[in-house]
Amino acid sequence: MRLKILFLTLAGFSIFLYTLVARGATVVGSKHDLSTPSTNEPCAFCHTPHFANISIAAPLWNRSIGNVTFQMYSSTTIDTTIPGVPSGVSLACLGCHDGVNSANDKHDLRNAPGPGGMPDQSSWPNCERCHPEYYGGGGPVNWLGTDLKNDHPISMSYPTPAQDPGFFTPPDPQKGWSDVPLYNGKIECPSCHNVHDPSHSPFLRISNAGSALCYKCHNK
Amino acid sequence: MSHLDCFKFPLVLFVVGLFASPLFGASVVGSKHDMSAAGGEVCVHCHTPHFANTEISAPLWNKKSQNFNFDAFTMYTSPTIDTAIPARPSGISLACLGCHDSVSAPEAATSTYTHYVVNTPGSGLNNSQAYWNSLNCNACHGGHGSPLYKIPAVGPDLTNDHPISMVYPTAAQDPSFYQPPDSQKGWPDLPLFSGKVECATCHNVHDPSKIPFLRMANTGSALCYRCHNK
Repeated sequence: MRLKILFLTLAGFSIFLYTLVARGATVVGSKHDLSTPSTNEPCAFCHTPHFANISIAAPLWNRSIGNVTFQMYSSTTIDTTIPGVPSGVSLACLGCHDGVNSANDKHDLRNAPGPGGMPDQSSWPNCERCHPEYYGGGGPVNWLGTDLKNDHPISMSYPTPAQDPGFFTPPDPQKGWSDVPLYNGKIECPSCHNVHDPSHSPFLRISNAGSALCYKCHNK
Repeated sequence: MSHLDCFKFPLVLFVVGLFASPLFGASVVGSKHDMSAAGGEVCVHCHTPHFANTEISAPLWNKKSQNFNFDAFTMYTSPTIDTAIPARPSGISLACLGCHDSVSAPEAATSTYTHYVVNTPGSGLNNSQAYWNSLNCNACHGGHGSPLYKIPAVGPDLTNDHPISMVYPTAAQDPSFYQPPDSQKGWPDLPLFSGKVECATCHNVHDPSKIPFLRMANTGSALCYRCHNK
């Protein structure tokens, strides 16, 4: 009995330690934490364990994405081909950051926290999380808009050395670097951004001191 | 009564009270998983003390697997996952999916699977009308004028559901997962099954106190954060 109590105490203590030490910086408390005391599950605003939207290549996506047309980046000197539409996990980012006010792709969750309900409007009361400018909480959210011509290209395959010697070659042509990933060999928003980790503002994969993030790919 | 007994009795009462307290949660009795008609046996609709089906690795399982197509499921996939998802559900998840396989029609488990047991209560009932009478139809069906099924069904397409039956990633495979104290059994309150994540890792089918049958409250996404370091 005494041993059991000791074991349970140790188990509880190690769980406590996990929550303190190992977690590091997570989405909790970051600008991507849309939870409030009344809707208190941070993960549920993007992910759901059941009935997820599988048309978006982000894990178990809990939002519908509207049929928005984007204008893609173009360049006369680029040596890889930019597709006509964003692909993969970038669509998950643009689901909010396109700034297009489409109620069912911005506000509704596919599956509500707890016993569920579809579609779900439990995120609606949390207005100040995405619209801080109306609540005295600083500037508006970073909307890129549907015009992506003035943004770093996304959804294009990473150039091979033969295509463009001005790029460093990743260790894995499909998955990129361990700290700057490619997605099926493509650059996507989360190649540079880690939506879950606010420690390198603005949600960067690595610190950009000395432009280190840029120089991971660009040999200039 | 000796001097020592005076201490023992309140202590026993305290321990008994502790077990009966909400700390240990509620039981399946009266929950949505209680499929018994009034006064009927509760456990028998899933478990039997004898002649159990050992093909499904839930304790003493009382359903016949020959009426259940284990290959009917399409599993979750992800380009970024760092562990391998098997081709079909394994272990205890098959027990869950026997009922939660489909929403509009039986896709994996036939009506014979869901409505009959290997071994009926008492003796000699042998899946007769008497066994059917012991079932509460309304536990799974909506009744006249309502949808035929009222249970949440996740299959047979599991591609939009959290992956199951895959081995929990090691720290080397994926550093964004917390490592459990026991690589085979997981955490004391959030179990792995032979080192695998199964439905029953997050869900406690016997305890309705944290809706929907969760192992622990998900306030602050605490259940998610037990594994995911994001």
